[in-house]
Amino acid sequence: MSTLKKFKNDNDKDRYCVKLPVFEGPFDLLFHLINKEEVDIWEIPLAKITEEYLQYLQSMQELKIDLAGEFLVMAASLLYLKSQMLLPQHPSFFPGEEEEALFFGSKEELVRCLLEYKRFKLIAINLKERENQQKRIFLRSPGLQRVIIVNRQCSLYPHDLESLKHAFQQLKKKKVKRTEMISLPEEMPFNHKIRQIVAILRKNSFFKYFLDDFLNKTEKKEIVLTFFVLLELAKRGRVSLQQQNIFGEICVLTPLERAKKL
Amino acid sequence: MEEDNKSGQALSTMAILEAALFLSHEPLSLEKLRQVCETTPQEIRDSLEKIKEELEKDDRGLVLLEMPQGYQLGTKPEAAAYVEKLFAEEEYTRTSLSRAALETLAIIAMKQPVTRLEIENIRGVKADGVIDNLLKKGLVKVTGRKEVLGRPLLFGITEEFLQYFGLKDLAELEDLKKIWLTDTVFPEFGETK
Repeated sequence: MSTLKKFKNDNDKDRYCVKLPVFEGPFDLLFHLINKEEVDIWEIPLAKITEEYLQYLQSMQELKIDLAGEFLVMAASLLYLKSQMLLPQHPSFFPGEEEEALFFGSKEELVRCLLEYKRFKLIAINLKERENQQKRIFLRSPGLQRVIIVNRQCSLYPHDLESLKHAFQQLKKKKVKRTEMISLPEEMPFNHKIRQIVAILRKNSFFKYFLDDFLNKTEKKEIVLTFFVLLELAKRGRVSLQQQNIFGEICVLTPLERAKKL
Repeated sequence: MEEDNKSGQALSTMAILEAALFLSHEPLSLEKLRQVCETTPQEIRDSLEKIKEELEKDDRGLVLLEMPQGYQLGTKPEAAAYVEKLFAEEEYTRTSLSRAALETLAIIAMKQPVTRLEIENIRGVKADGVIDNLLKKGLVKVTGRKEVLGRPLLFGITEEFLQYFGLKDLAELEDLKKIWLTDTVFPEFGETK
């Protein structure tokens, strides 16, 4: 709030940087204003608080901050209350109707709202402390489970609906690490690579090659390109590819040699 | 291979519990621990208490957590700054809840079951977005509908809520509620301790 007042005295509005405290809602703001006054919640100087509240809204508008409707409802509620206290008491023609849209219709109600809000603020603070504490406790990672089920069969996968659901939820929660993206140039030196590989295949008539044999550099782009080219060659029947196990080495067999072997 | 369980020197229940808790990546219920140790629930409870005391010593780095689903070992909060270095290279971020989320949770926890409108009346702000988020996070759940006009949804907290905030069970939440109520009693409104 102090920064705000400074702002008002400053002519050079455009270059002034203001840091506003963030209020979670009209009660939050009102609560802040009352706390600042350091008065008992029962002794709220309504006129003064209302004025400060309106002043704050005005500064927010000057700063072109979009005001949520609730802040205006609070302003209306405060003004209504103020007018109630100024006017002599007489029963309203439409009892209750005008108060329906407001947060409160009497000072007692206002105080009750504020106290209730304060209670939950206190609990929220308690929860925050607990959250901080819990976040500093580390548990064994579920990934280690593999170690202890080596000898059991079929237990790698959950088998009842409940654990399946749980597994799915866990999976959704897990932040999947994004793999690095590589963009290939639009014009890939595809044909060049094909010629290169065919040349190698012609020169030596080994039966077996590995993916690595065709790589010049081990750049990711190079690996991808080579892999593509090998797939293309396999499609054209120039080579055939074999892989013994997942993530295992890829064998590149020349058809001629393979025929010989068969 | 020689049969090594139960044949050699007898281990204390405490030791068996320690071993089981060390291995487990999820909370172990009292029943499960009883099956593992083959002893009475009472002895399990006593032994767990002893483990807990033992771990409180300064030269131990673990803590025994009591959760809604059971017991689990974790590292001490004081060790966090150090053990965190183990995961320095991994992308691990534990986001905190926003203030709006915490205040909404506070209301739901204290007043459950509670409707969206009741929450909004206390905070003076719309609550749809916050509640949606909390539902997604699994910290709150729909518990039913209030039998009034429009039958609005009622919200309550989940087991995950308790675990997230390190609360053992609902009783511990009730304690929190008691403290909260007695700290701020307003006899003017007819409230009593």
